Amino acid sequence: MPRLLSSPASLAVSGRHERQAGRRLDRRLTMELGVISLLVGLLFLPLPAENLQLISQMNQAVMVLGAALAVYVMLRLNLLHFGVPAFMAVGGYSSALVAIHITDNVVALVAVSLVVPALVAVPFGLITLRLRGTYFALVTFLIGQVVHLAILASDRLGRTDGLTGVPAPTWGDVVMGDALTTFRLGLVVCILSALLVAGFMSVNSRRIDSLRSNEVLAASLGLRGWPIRLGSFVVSAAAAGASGFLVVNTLTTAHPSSFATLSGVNYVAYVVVGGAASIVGPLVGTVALVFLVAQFASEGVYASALLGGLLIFTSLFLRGGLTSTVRRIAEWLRDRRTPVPRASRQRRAVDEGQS
Amino acid sequence: MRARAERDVVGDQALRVVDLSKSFGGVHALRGVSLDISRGQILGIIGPNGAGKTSLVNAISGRERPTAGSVMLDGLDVTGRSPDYLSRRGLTRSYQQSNIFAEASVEENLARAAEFAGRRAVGVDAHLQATGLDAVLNSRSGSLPYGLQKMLGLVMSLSTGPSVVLMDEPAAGLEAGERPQVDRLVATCAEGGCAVLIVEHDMDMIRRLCPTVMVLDAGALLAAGPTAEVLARPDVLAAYLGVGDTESESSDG
Amino acid sequence: MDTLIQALINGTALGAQYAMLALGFSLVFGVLGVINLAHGGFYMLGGYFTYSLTSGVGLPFVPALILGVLGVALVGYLVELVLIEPIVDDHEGTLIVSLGFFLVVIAAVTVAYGPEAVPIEFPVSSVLRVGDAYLPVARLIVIAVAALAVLILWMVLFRTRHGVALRALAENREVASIQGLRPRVYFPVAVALSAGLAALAGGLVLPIFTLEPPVAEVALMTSFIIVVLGGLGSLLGAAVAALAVGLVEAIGGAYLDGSTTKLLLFSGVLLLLLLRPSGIAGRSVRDA
Repeated sequence: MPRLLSSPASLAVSGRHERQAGRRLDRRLTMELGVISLLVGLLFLPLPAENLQLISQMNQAVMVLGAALAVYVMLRLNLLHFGVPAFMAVGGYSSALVAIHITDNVVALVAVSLVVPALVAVPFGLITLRLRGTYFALVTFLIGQVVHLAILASDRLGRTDGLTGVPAPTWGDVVMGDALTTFRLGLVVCILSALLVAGFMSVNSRRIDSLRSNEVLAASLGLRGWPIRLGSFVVSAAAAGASGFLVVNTLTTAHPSSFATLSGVNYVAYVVVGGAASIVGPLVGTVALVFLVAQFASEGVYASALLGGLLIFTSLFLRGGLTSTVRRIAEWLRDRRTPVPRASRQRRAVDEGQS
Repeated sequence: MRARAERDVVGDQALRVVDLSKSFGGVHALRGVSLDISRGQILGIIGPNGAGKTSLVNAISGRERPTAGSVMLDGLDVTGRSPDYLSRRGLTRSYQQSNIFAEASVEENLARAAEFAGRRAVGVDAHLQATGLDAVLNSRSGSLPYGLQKMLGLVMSLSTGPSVVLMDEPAAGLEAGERPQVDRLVATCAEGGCAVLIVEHDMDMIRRLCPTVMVLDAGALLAAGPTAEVLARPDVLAAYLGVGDTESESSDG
Repeated sequence: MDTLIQALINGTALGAQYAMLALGFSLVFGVLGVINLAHGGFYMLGGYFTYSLTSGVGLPFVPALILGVLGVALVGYLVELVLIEPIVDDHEGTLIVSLGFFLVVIAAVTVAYGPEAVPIEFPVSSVLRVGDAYLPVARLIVIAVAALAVLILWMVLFRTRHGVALRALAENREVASIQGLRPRVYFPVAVALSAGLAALAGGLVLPIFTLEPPVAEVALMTSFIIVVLGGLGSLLGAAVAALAVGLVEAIGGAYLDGSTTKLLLFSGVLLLLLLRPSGIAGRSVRDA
């Protein structure tokens, strides 16, 4: 019986296979490392500390990037997650409680905002394990509602007033209270979230791609789907929780209105408009939409209209969001200049398909 | 006929199905179907449309939970277990329609099959050569002609190194010239000790490959036994409503 | 005891209104496979169209309501044709597009009418007294109209050819299409029907309470909880769940407070999902 690796043909097979898989992993890994490097680079960028408006706007984006990553993780499984505000609230409120009653050490606060939502996510994740497709999306709205109502019902959490006067985080003797430090802290937290998300997805990339592509087939080949789904849900909650911490830290208040159920729509919009092919999508979507809303729609109602219009436009005309559209245009331009042989067009179709 | 006396030990049932039933909403898709199949055996399942053949495959493979009855795999009760559990235990199925990871390359499809089963696959490159898939390893599997996609699906299910394979209309959608490739796959598989259950409409293929055959009609067992005998029975022919040989008729199952 | 009777009446009225809301939502999912997030918007528009026609144009309430309902049904029809139809097989895409429309509609209404509640009153404000219980006639009217609407819907779906066609498409689109039923014709009708029902609910009920933009979101969440409880795609489940939710809210509201009741309700439904992912009467799905 011929064995898989014995013949020259199969050696070529395995070699080619490794190159193929390598190429696919390379591209996404490159994107992930690129985004993380960008965030690290921003950390060291000298910013004019007096330009409070600029710093505040950059902070706005950084604050919610984690929430966009939380949506992204689930969207890689083709699942729309509207319950991100719930886990932001868990992270925000738990870090606020710790800061008020126990310690304001920044490491403790960030750790709490990552771990507590991850733990809370487990029972909710189990509930959603057997839900598919858009039904999952519906239920995530309900999860958002439940957490929101629970917060409103809790005296400990300040009910409709929330928790005010949350102390600024400290690092040794340094109190991280000014705008620039808040922004840089936000960048660090984003880097952590991005590393968490990218790491999880790299380790599980083949399984995630298979579940996304054809869940029935993957199962009949022996893939256990639930660890990936539960894992994604937990990682998503951690990233959301860290974002919640940043929100509370910026406002120095843990308030229910920061985590309104319908705000989950915003984070989904960032990823849908930006694209979910790689981690660049949520980054692009968050920055673009936060900027657009700040420039053209400073009043809440116009922001809603803008977001809604963008969602409609993207769904109908920009399949895959901005990043995928840009890539398709770039390839179309490249094809026009040099005719592409069929074999490498096939390979490219494979690469593209992997996203 | 292959001599496999050493495998045909009484009690060496790779798959044993007892009184399997499936109903939903007043529809009885399966009514108390039983079968035994041992290692290296190839069993055909035939029957008119709506007879419950796919329901049988679904109920055994975990795609649907049976309402009653039991499924034993190598002596282990696996009734109602999930498809991924069964696959890891050595029972896989192939699909009537082409079912592959369309946006991935052929190689990647095979790599996934190998990884998820958690077992080393053997003889895959023989399958690849036999089907011509070795020439298109880098191609996007969704761009392949339908026949090749179907073959890829078959090869993937075989590459998990199963002890029992359920093939749901493997020839459906294949050109006449492609069908002998299925023969080769089935033969190689059975020679390796696999138990193969083939649901088919292509009577020529059934006659070529299956020494024994079972006939389902309206969810229940109508007849079972040596293929030539069963196919000559008047009640079997009647169940097919006068459509006997289906060489010309079934180009898509 | 009277509190209970009061609560039962209120609960039934609530349940009736919720039934109109939830049935439309479930119908669109059943026929098109689309989760239509704009649904809460249709409910809200029913109220605002009626308001505009009564206070702006000066029509009496009933014609205003009827015209308002027809107007929203037309909006629903157009939404399906323009926004949903191009991508109808993309479940995630249609959800997003309907969400976009929902946001746009809320923004438009807020700009046109302002963020505060508008003054609109239900034409009937008399109250019946039964023992120590107060039965606002308005609520009784809501129950009556809702029951009539649900009855008419049932008759359309089960007794007319087109209704049967809609249900056939919901059951199995492929087979129904092969047999000659054209989804392209029926889909917009399904959405129009659903929008009209939501608008009827809104136009009837919002004048009794308050008419302001946030009601759209509340209506949407209520629709969600009902269809999840009753089972996505099951009309009977939606109707039963609507009544159940209405009663729970009213009785809970009488003895506890509003948000605690809601919290218990939502938690209860989520817990139920753990045991029965498809709700009480939904289609059982192993791989949806």
